[in-house]
Amino acid sequence: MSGPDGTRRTRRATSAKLVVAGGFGVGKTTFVGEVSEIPPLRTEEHLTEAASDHDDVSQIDQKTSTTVAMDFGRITVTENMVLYLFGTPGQSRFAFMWDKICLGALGAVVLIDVRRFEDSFAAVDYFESRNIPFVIGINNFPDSPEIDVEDVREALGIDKSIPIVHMDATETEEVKSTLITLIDFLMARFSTPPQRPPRRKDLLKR
Amino acid sequence: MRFEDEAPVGNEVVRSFLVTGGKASTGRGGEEISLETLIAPTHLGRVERPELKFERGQILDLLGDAQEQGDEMSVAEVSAHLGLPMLSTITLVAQLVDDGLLDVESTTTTMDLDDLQLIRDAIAGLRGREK
Repeated sequence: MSGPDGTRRTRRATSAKLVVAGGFGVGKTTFVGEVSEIPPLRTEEHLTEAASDHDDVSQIDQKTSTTVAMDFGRITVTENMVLYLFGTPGQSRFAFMWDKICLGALGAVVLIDVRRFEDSFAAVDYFESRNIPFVIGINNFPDSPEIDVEDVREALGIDKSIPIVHMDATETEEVKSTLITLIDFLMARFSTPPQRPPRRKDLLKR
Repeated sequence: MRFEDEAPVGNEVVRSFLVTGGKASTGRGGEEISLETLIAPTHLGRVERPELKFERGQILDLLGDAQEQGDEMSVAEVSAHLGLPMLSTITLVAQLVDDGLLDVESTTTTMDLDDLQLIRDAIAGLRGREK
């Protein structure tokens, strides 16, 4: 980065990003806010006409919804490296902006509310198809039913190599632990380059 | 058609395609501009900046201020601080890079095991934000 006097650093900085995806109200912003060094910032995008053609409005009350908000935070890793965490709306009607948000991401956390599994299908499909590594975080709400991670794995139809953890997005330590699970997963891929996970079965197609 | 009926008053109702001058693509420099890309004014953008209107001028002003404070700023932060749609912001930043007014300050391509270890250490050392 160049300073006010025009001098330039010799090394170019590195910026990286992780994506936190999931359905509406699953805890993305809370998750990001727990570990961000700045209060989460909000950026917005408008649903375009083209996107509306593919918009499944059957399950939302607000048919004229035209703006989608995305919250993000940042973590300074070193003087030369900054990590951004983007909370990404996981519904398929926002797919038109996923590439811009997600391509180049180191990896993703897909947050799941076990009471609404279906809200996470699109995000899982997307990361699988783009070969973006991800882990699953089951966000435990006070009234969430108890559920075994293997049942979640079966419900989502994801490969056994993909980590699934129970966590609470309101607890800083648990958010950190979830992110570390993701980073460990990424690091493990360096030593054992993974085979592309099998595509999800047709039975999960809606 | 009566444009004044639809005419925007503030940024929040400016349609994305108007903000970007009707351009849908991100231009020549656009390929390397992502939300997390760090950007800063060039010497041209800082000292000899031409009169830029509206959003382009706001972007240069914001990034100029950040630069004076020694703060790094990403495309996403520009979008958030100015209330501009994120995809439009990427396009506008790409144009400003093409015009030689902004520099791309970060790379997003290389990430090796050592980098991941640094990230892991940073996350492990977080104490959470003051609430």
